Amino acid sequence: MEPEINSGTSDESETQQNMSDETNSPEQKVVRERKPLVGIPLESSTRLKIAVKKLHVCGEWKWLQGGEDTCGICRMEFESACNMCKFPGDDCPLVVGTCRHAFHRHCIEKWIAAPSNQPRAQCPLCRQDWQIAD
Amino acid sequence: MFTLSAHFPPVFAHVHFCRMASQLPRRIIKETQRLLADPVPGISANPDESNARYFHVMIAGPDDSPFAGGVFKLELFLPEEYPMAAPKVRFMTKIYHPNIDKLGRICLDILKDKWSPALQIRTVLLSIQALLSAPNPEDPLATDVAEQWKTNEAEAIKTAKQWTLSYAQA
Repeated sequence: MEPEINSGTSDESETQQNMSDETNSPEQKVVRERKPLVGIPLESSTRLKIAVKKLHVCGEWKWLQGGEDTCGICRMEFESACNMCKFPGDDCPLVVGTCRHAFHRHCIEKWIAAPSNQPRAQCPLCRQDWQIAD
Repeated sequence: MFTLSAHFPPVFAHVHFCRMASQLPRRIIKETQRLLADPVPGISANPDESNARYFHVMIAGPDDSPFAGGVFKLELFLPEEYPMAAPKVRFMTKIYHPNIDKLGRICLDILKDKWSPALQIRTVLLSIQALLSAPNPEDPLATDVAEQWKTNEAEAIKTAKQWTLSYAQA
């Protein structure tokens, strides 16, 4: 059986009751008065019954610090995997320096350890001393 | 103005590139694709057929320099550590320049201690092109050339033009 959404209420338990029983008991009326449909008061006394046949949910994730930029080291989008990762995610988050420049964690760690960046680690973009921002 | 692309169409580079690409870091693949699709004016860079880390480079002598009208051949190699280490670049064409020695080695800070992984093949080649426009005899690699450049600049420029005519013709 398809789930039904009752226009008069957002209460899930009541929706389930409506599926099996169309009559409005006094008890249910009380529930409706207490919880009207959010934002859209229906003028008429007609009650809608909507059957949701299919739901297609899409999501998108983004690092909070990255903006629209790409990593200045591997040149990939911040939300793409760095050159050392197969998949993006928490293993290789963004790291932001005190200079506000952000890089994939693996990319900046590799640069900090690189012999060409000794003795002091510098930001690849602005050459300021690299320090992770708090 | 001499256009490099007309003389050196970057076509052969595509032949084996796809087959080799699988072992390459994605950054190198991206850089190569962009160099081929959207080349820098006056510069061409094509990966070698058998080694995608080795590039055949041509730089046209800038119009405002004694190297104008010349086409200079260079080799560029991306070491295993790239981009954490700088590319290795060398002039193959003989050139009279205070910052380039007999072996074609280039004195340029970004190729040594000023390297940054935010730099790339494109920016390195642009810097070398700029070095042709602005020889710096105060920081020489070829000391005899630098000496000449400092004591008799007119003569040095004349020699550079002569060498360009003799050695840097396509």
